Amino acid sequence: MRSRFESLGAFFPEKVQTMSDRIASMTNQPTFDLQAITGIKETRVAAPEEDSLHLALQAAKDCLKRSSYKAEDLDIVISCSISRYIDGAVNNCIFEPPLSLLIKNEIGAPRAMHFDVSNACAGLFTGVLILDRMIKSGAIKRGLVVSGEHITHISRTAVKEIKDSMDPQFGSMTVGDSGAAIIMDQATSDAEGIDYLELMTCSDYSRLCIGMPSEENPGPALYTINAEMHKKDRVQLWPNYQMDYYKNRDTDIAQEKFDYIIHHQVGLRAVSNFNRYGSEFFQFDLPPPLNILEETGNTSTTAHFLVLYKALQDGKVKKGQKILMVPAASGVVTGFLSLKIANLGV
Amino acid sequence: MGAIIIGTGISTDSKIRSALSHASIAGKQAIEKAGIDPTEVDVVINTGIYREHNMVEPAMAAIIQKDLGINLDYVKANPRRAAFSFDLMNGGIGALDALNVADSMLQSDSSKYVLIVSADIHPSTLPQKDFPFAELGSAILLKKGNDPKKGLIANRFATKKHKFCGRMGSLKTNEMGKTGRSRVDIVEAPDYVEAITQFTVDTAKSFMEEHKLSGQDLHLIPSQISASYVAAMQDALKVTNTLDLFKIYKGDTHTSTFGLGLHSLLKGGLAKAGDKILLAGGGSGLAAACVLYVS
Repeated sequence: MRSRFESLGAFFPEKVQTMSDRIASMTNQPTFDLQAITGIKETRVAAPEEDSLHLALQAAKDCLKRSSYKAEDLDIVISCSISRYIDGAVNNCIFEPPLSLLIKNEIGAPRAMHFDVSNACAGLFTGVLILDRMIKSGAIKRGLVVSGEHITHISRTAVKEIKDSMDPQFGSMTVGDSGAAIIMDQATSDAEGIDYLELMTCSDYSRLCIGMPSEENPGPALYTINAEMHKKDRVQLWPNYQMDYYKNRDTDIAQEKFDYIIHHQVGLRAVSNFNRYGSEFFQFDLPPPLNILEETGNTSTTAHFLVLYKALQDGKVKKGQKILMVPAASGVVTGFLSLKIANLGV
Repeated sequence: MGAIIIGTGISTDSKIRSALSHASIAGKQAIEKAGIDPTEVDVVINTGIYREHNMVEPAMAAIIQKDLGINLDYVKANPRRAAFSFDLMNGGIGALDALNVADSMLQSDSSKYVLIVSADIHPSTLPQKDFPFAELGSAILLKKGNDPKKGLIANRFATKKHKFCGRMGSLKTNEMGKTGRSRVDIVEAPDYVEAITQFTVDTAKSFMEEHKLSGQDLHLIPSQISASYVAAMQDALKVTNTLDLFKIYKGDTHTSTFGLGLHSLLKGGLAKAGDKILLAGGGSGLAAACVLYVS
């Protein structure tokens, strides 16, 4: 049995902030060209009333719009965002009940089970993995995984607090807001859906990136040792894992014939390095990476899925093609998802 | 269904002022009880809600995974074993969802051992009189079962709308100033205890009817929202063997309720082979859940 993406939804807030404006607002100006290093020209910024719940709901509704299911058909709703703000501009960060309860109530899925998962930028991948296993075990038939990320708050903390070029809050300058949602069910054939999805956490590096409220200013902050997170050894955890996966399965990266690869949208240079390190390890030229980060920044949990959404929308990814999606998240979490595209339209 | 519990653990020392430490201590106990090496654990699921400094990233489960010595670095390990961890959050009943998820992971043969941990602590890490939860941790370790009449047998999840969702725990970021790492705001509807008691009772009664369960033949682990909640669950479901963890631990054991309860029954020898254990939870939402486990 296989699971598939039955429908995909997205939401991009209307307001745009250019990277140059964001950099200009920094209390201490960087000594390097952050825009040139990341390749991010602008990001979307949610309005104060567009909290995490709002972003998630917009994405969920977009997803339901083109699904063959109604909300009441859903067996489960899993919310996967790091940010869990409700009450609009009040910015209430909710611990309980989970955001998934508010989402399922709002979309009209009263009989659906619900819970949140939290796994840094790999949250939506984690939700997809859980649904994949629950569908395969027969526990559920169909479910919604959704993420509404209102995370630009950390950039507003960063512009005030970054002190020098080694400051751990530089990663916060790259983020953008968004929502993404996927309805999953059982695939109808081997020509569509998830071939395999494996995730792992290499926990020795679990404290390289910490998100918590700032003690200098009112607001959330994210502290990342970027140099360590994106070291070659760290990046090559993924291809090591994927190659080992193939060893007992009579295949290899070349035979898998991926048409595209989607990496975490942290920056153009970083994505290029991810692909280069991966190609070096596999001794095979990986397919070209798809990116949208120049216009969205790093949207955290939604990143890969928004890239897929845009690529389908633009006609770049077509029926019959095969995509490799590689998460890279605090934890550190990595892995690989092989997805065949059949009737997934946006 | 059919996953079986092979180890449990608890951490109740009030001198420990870290949810991560409580969860790790409990997890270590569960692994030792099961007689496996920590590196054999495939998945760590943390269901704790309130944690030191209100950290939201990474998953607390990743830090707990490190403390337990599980998959520190995939490439450097020998043999290599790709363990994975994440947080699962559903108020005080998250462990019941985690049992469901763990069962699917085990039954789909994608994992061999799944560890569920939990702990709650006031984010300030200091004892706070108005923090309504007992600050402790628990752990449950599962593997795939081979007997369809043993282990996890059935479950049910239900929700009902209510003012403030009954109880809401949050961080009001517009009011927090520079104290965001050390505060949490918990509000309850005036009738929360009454409402969640009734909802859990109704859900559990319906579940017991569906599965032809009699209170006389059960061990009951209810949520521990209050002393009156526990008593009401015992009376309404007519279960003599009802665990009162609220009394033992002097408060609502919240996310650790079901781990503590299973530890008491299974390790403590109160439940014998073949005994039926009903885990009946209620919490913020309103949300109620039942899980039937046969020892």
